[in-house]
Amino acid sequence: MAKFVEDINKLLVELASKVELYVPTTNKSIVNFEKFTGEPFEAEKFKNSTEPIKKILFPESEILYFYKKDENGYKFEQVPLDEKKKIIFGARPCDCAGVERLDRVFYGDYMDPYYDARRKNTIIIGLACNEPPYHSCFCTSVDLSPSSTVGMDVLATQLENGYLLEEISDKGKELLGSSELVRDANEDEVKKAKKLHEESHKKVKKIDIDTNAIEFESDLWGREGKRCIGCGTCTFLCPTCHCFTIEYVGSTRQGRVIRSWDTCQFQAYSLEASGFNPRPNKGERVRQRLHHKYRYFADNFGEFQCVGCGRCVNLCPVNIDVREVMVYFKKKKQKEEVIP
Amino acid sequence: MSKEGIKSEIIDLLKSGKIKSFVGYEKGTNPFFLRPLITSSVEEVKKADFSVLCVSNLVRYVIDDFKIALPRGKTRDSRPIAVVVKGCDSRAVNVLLQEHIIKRSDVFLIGMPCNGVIDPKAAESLWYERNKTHDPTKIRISNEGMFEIADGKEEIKLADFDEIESEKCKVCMHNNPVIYDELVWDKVDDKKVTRGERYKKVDDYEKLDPEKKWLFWSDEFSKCIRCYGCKNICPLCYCEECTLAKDKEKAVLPNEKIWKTSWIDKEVNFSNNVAYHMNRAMHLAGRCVDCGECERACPVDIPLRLLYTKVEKDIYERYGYESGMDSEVKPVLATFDINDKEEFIEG
Amino acid sequence: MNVITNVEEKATEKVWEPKIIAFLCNWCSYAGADLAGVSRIQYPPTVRVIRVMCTGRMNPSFVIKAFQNGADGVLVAGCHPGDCHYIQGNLYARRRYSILAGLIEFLGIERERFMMSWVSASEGGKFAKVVTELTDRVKKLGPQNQLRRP
Repeated sequence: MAKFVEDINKLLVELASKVELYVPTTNKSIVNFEKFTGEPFEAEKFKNSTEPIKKILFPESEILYFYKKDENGYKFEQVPLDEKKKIIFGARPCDCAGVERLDRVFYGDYMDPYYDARRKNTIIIGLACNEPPYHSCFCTSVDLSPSSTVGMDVLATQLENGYLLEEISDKGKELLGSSELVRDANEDEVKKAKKLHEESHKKVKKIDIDTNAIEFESDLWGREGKRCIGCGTCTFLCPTCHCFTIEYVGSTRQGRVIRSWDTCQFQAYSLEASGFNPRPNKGERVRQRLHHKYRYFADNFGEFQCVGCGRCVNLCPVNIDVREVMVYFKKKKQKEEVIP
Repeated sequence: MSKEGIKSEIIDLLKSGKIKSFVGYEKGTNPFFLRPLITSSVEEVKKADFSVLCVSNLVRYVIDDFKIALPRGKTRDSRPIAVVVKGCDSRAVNVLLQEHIIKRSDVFLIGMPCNGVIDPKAAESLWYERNKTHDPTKIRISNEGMFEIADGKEEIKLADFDEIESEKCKVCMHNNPVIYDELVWDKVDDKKVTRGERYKKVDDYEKLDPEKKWLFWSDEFSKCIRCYGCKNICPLCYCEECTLAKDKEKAVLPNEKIWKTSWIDKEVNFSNNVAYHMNRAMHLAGRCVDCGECERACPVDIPLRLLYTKVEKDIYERYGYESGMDSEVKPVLATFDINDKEEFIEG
Repeated sequence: MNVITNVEEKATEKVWEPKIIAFLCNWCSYAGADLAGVSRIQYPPTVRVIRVMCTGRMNPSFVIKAFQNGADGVLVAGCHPGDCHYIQGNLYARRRYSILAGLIEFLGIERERFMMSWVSASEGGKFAKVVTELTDRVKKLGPQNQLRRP
């Protein structure tokens, strides 16, 4: 059953009065998800945020626990889990699919209580793309779409006279049922939204990604790697990258243990205690990242880890383009004439 | 010289083995800048291009060449690398020579006199606002501006060059390379920018109240995610063990011991971010050549050039020194004058 | 910034006293401070002295780290120009700290918290005066919260 709301900003104000609401907020030249301040949300001006929503569920740095040494030994103090109710509004379908990929990791072999506390208390309202926001978007090439509903609780689509709100999960249903501003949608509105979704899907350029075509031993990695500067931007702004490091901050007497984002693109990531580094050069690290996204994750979980948001393509200062690499391998497999 | 002339000279040098590799610019998948091309193959040199889209500072790759981990038993090939340098980039080479990181015989400099390059981020956002075709392959950017190649082969002007020119180029005082072996084309006239114009933004900013200044910088530094993009792309940040890295981030060659040298805590919080940027500004005092790469690499658009230009202004006004102009003089903070101004010393 | 902190600080009932960190060069300023002590010249006891061999050895990172660790004020004191035990260490430091002082002011951090001074071995009175002045200035400004690490 689909719902409709005429004035989205009134709904946002109502939601913000009950819980912490995160909306895309413009801060000079970048857009990020910040707490709602009352400023009206304009969907026409919003493409996609610079930082994905993983920041809200999996922060850059967080304290795991405190330790203190007294005469009896070490005492540990647990940090209270973050169980505040949150709502994220305006996340694009690619970012929401990224959350679903993160779920696989943090709920995999071992349930991560810090992530779990945030995840189950957060409701995600996704915003369908009426047209691909960037020229580098390629969600349709990784089995997603501008209106995919993976990882979200409600899907919002902007129409001329308001927003169509489709309930995806039980949490979403409950949320929409609790507001008086939300009414049932009529058939016309549902049809219009569906048409928008279909047209938008066609507009995204599709490339053929063949997970079996990616070669481990290839000259391409050396070439891409020479250009790479190892800045880590691709990993920090990727909706699905989740590597972290656990470190001690403090002294041997007392301090805290923190978990912060790490990146496989830094040299010390794979540095072993003996001093040996299996990935000493950048080409190897670029290769590892692309294999992880398109091969290893796909082999383990049956889906690409990449969600096609295009941030790594847009923000790489030296234009290392995932799409180009995939096209190269596909063409090579088909033995077409390739000019890399 | 011309573009083709310089390319055939490079090919000759590669074929005769006089240079090891060529670092230039080539067309990539991003229509708003040319990406670096690092190659020792003659076929690939033919793809090189020179235009207002040559935004990157390629001197970074000269430093990287010294850091590549080699298989056991192999020694480093010490033949020169041919690298394309603009005015700002050539000053970076001078700083490296001054600090004895590279020798003059390690590089073969191909100077590219330039009247300004574009800012890819500004050009991209203007394109999104103004374009009609939504097709990135139909963009043409030249020193006259940004054009859209419409279907009827008629070009529509989307933006003037002034609107997409990089901020650093508007106040550039060195359009011609200050050190080079060959030039791609004839030298251009210097832009006649005065020091006052160059430091105008810093001067305007210094007039603000301290509270406003702190508010501005708090806002900016709280965006920082410590990705180290600024440090990794800077050609002058070449230290094997960086004191600002998160512990062992920039490790030395794999077979050497790494000691904890970090002066900044690993946690990504506001206090550490401010400390990181302050320390980095001090490390670049008297060395930064304002190539603008740090600001371009920053994914959250922190105005780093404002900070580093302030330090550059202080160095110039107090000690009359400009970085990267002469590779024979001593660096400014490694010298002194008994009559240096000490009005800031109290008591 | 998504750092979750839950640190409970023990509230002290005493009046806040500023923490001043003074980096003194071994040959002149430290001896000057010693002289002030021996001559029974009063100066605020809240100053904590760190002896370095020469101000030329001082890294600007020390000042920044001191602020991060909770210092309310930082003093750097060395020999007069021309009198340095290592001939020119303080002359290098003069250049370095001129830039740091400008940078501190540019960022909007309270400039009055950082002070640099020349104190020779015979100037016990000057050392006391310098420390008292800095402590008074910092007392007016209050605790330092701009660079303090959580």
